[in-house]
Amino acid sequence: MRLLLLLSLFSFPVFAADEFLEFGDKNFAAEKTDESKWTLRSGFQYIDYPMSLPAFKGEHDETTAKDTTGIYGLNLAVGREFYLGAGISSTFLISANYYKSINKEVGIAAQDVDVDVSNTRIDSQLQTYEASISINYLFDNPTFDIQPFAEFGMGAGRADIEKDYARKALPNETNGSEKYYVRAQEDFLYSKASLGINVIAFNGLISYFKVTGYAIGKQVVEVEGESKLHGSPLTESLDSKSEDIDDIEQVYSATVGMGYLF
Amino acid sequence: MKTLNLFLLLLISLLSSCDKVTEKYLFNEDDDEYEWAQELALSECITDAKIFGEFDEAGEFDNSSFNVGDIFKIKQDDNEGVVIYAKVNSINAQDMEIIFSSADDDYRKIVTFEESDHEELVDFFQTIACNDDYDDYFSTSGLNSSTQMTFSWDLETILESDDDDDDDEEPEAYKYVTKDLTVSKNYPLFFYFYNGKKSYEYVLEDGDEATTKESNITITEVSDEDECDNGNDDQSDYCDFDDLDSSSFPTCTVEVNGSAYSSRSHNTNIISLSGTNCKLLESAGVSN
Repeated sequence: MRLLLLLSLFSFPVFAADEFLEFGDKNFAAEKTDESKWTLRSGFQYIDYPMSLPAFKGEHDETTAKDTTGIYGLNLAVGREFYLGAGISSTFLISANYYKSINKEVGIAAQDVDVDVSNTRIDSQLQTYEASISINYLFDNPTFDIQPFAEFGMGAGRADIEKDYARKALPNETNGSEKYYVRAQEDFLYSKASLGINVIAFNGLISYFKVTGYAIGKQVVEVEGESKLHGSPLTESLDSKSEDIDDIEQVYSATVGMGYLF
Repeated sequence: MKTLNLFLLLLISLLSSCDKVTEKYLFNEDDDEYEWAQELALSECITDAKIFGEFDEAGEFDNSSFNVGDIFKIKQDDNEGVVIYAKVNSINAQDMEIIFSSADDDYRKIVTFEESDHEELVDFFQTIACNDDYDDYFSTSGLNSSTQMTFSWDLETILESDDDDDDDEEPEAYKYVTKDLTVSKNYPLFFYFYNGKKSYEYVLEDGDEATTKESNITITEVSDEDECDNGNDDQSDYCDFDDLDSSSFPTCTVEVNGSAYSSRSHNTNIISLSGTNCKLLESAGVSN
């Protein structure tokens, strides 16, 4: 997959040889800047998502209520930009986002003792759906247009988080092994505010960058799992279900992407 | 176009970031767990190495894959091409008795190899394969084989250490021995001694030219009388165990030096033979 992407990366200059060195020569058509138009956008996003996992303090791993997991994702948005006059416009977008990351940490005994003693894996998946509206101002330049914007939106999402930590028992230890395994499904609502900038060229081709602050309110958190502590022979169930959670959590993300105005 | 390329670069970076693995070290040498982790590393290495499971299985002499009457031919290319035939004379739950027959009187003997010797040898090979402390002078391969593993062992005796006045960092007089041997479950385990190459390089006095000697020893199972005939009538007579009178042969017992891996001396051996007139095969000019 990655090889294919790499090949496609280097093949683009060949396919587009005719347009080589023409970047910026074709300003977004003047006749389109002062009218409403449709838009399609796609971007990459990084979000530091707050997990709601049961607390655990192991020998080589700790889980707390404040833990977050960094997740990368893709988003796809479609909408319409309404021209309001004097370079000002407003864009309404409906978007879907999908994030997935797997973070692993291997605990090796020592630099000169190459044996894995502990393993931690956090598998995170996030899906969100949202509606947003932005207010934009267009700086019409001869080469390409710059369009700063402020965006507000709200949406709903579901997170599936799986954390698996295991520590092997060492020789001479009694009940030395440790285990922490949880699978959490979290349903949440959120509102967001973003600041960003669009760079418009190529007859409506957009590059954009934005930073976003989210206020996330979790509605339902359902956890299944179990844990066993070092030195203890007992395995404890971590199953739980929480609803109507009052906490609002602040989360920030950054997005880069591309789009098209037509 | 530059924007598209940037977009794809970001996509590749993103996909690379989706699966992130980090490593951390848990213990330092002062921790109790450091030593325990070394034991864990050793035991995992041994468990993962298929060959040691095979050797353990072959260590059950009451269920041995060898039969009384099995004959093996040992041939060394130097030492005037010495040939030794070895026949399994008896086998029971505790030990096996092997008659060694050769044109050379020195190598005629009856050797007892005990099950406990087999276990000690397996422990030895496990240690050199899995304990990092011996990495500097042992290397092993074939741990996942189901029939044999090989090991290389560098030994040295420094007779006169490096003279600071010269440019090299070599000792002025030394004895270096390298053994590249194969341990196979197709032969009694101590036959590793007769399976591979032994090299000897020495400078006995400062200023002497280095002398190098090398022995290649091969071992094969003899399945019929034709294989006994090596074209030398004198030699093949010693393969005819039915007519061989071994009553005068010295009786010897295999002794395993289970901590030989700690020694660096050029004449160190894992096995020796106890008993009167019990001598192992001399190879590359190194007496054993």
